[in-house]
Amino acid sequence: MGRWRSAFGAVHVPGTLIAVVCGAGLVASLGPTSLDRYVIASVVNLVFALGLYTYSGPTGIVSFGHFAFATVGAYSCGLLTMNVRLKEATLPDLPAVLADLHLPPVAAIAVAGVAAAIVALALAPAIGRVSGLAASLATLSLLLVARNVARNLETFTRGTAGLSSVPRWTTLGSALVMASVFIAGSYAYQRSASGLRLRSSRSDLVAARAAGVNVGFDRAIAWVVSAFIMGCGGALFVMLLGSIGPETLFVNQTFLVVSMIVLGGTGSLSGAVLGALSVSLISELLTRAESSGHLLGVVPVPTRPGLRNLVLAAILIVIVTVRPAGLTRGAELRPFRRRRVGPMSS
Amino acid sequence: VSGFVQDVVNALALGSLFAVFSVGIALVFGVMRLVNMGHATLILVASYALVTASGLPLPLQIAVALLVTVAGSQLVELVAFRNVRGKDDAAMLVTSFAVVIAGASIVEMLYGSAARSVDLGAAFRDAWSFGDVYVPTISAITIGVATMLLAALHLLLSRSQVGLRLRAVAIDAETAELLGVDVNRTIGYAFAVCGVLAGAAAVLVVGQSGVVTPTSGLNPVIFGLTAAIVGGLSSLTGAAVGGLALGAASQTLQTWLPPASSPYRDAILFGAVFVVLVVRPNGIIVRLGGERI
Repeated sequence: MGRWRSAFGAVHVPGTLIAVVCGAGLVASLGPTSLDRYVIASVVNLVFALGLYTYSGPTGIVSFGHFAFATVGAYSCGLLTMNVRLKEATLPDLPAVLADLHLPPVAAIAVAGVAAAIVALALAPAIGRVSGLAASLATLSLLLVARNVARNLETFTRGTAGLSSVPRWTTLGSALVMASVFIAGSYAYQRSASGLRLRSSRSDLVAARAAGVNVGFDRAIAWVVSAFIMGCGGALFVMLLGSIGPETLFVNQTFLVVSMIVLGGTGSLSGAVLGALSVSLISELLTRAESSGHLLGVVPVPTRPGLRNLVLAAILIVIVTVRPAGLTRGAELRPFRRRRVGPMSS
Repeated sequence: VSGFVQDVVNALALGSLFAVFSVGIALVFGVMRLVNMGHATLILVASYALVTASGLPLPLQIAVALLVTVAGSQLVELVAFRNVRGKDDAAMLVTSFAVVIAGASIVEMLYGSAARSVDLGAAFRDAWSFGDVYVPTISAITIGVATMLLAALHLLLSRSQVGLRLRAVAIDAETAELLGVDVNRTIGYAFAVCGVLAGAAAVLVVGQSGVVTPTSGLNPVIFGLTAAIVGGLSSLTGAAVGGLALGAASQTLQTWLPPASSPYRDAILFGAVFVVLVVRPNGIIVRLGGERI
């Protein structure tokens, strides 16, 4: 009985979240065809939110730099899946090994994740040392370095022109499978010993250290795992869009995904998932409103670009003020939990 | 020799500009521990105010921009930052990020995302030559304006009642409040000063480049923040010195990097900031800094 219950505990939350995400994705795919690409993009953004959450959730540090890893992943995947002849023509200086290499999409995603994880591993000893504000600002500087390198490392990135004609492989199905895998993976990490130690350091850094937690080491693990997810997300992204440039995965995208996990609540995986779903929904409604001039056919709005981000920013400011722990307040979604009646409750 | 003099002039001009960016950020950080990326929004507001008022005579145009920016700074403080004051770092950071995006979006809605050009007059585009040394007037203007602003700010903080209250709130807001300082109003003053600095920064940047886009506030804040971090974030002297140091470092890299790697100048600078944050999260110049605000 005990074993059965603990097995149920392990799949309860991720199972629920995967069901919610796949359900939402399938319902949305029943909509008009014009919605299809947007739905896939939302699932890819969910993957980014999962990657960011895997670091920010357990550590409590908001990272602005994770899209550096997504950029690494996107470029790697683009280079590995592009047509070999096209590569010769557009990137003549590419080293021979890379120029002739062509991988199937799934393998390219894995390599993209590993490439991002290797970059993260090199930075991990440094990032593990810093907490709070200094850590967030350090991650921001990584984002800036990544853009500058992407802009100038023309042998591999074609500079500001970026890579284009990357085969479009990402479908709703493949994106949902990846998202499900990472929901399960992220949940498994947060329940692992390392994830729990980090969570203790999030609640009280000094106490966790005093209890013998090597916070830097566990942060480094979360950092590398989350970078892997971001790298895979970047790969899915480039195979959805078909192209990638130095500014594609930069400040705006960071803002979108940070809003997702803050809106849902950085304290729980359910927060990241629900935040991603709500922000995607809101932002699609607003993007449509921007072009059509009304919200859901009822409320007239100005047909201007920028409306979407303005409303998202306003929502974010309100959430941080009114409900700083986010929609979920750090709780996980457990629909089938039996109601506990404690001895003290009446 | 003239090459060296040229480098020094360029470094000073660039450093002064960075100092104008960074002091505004350090001031707000000092009084409320907020990393005010929203400074980008203030610079943006000032830039577009210059666009809108471009028919007016230059002094009036600049005055309008400063007024609008100070008003904007009060609005931003009231709407966004007052409510998160004293909350955790993450909440404040996310809010300030949201203010950046909100500012860019509003500007995009009002003016469109295409670049707008503004001409602040020939004075910003001329240059003098002394032998081989080439000094654009904008460099002289930047150095002059930065010196004046920093001196004025120093006087304000050390000699005035407002300055006294600002320093008191910076050291301990709660105690200051108990002693009768109106903390909300004092922080409002800090933001007003920030607005003036952002306005001046916008005049210098726009005067030089002549164009404005919805993202043009971003770069100044990135460099200003970088300089402020090097200076320890909470010290105004540190921020000013950090600005100069960043300007000097940037110019040195520009001169000494081999041509193949010179495009990576900014990557090297930001990488160095990463290292500074990791090795000395409190900045490297802070020990030299005089008064802490």
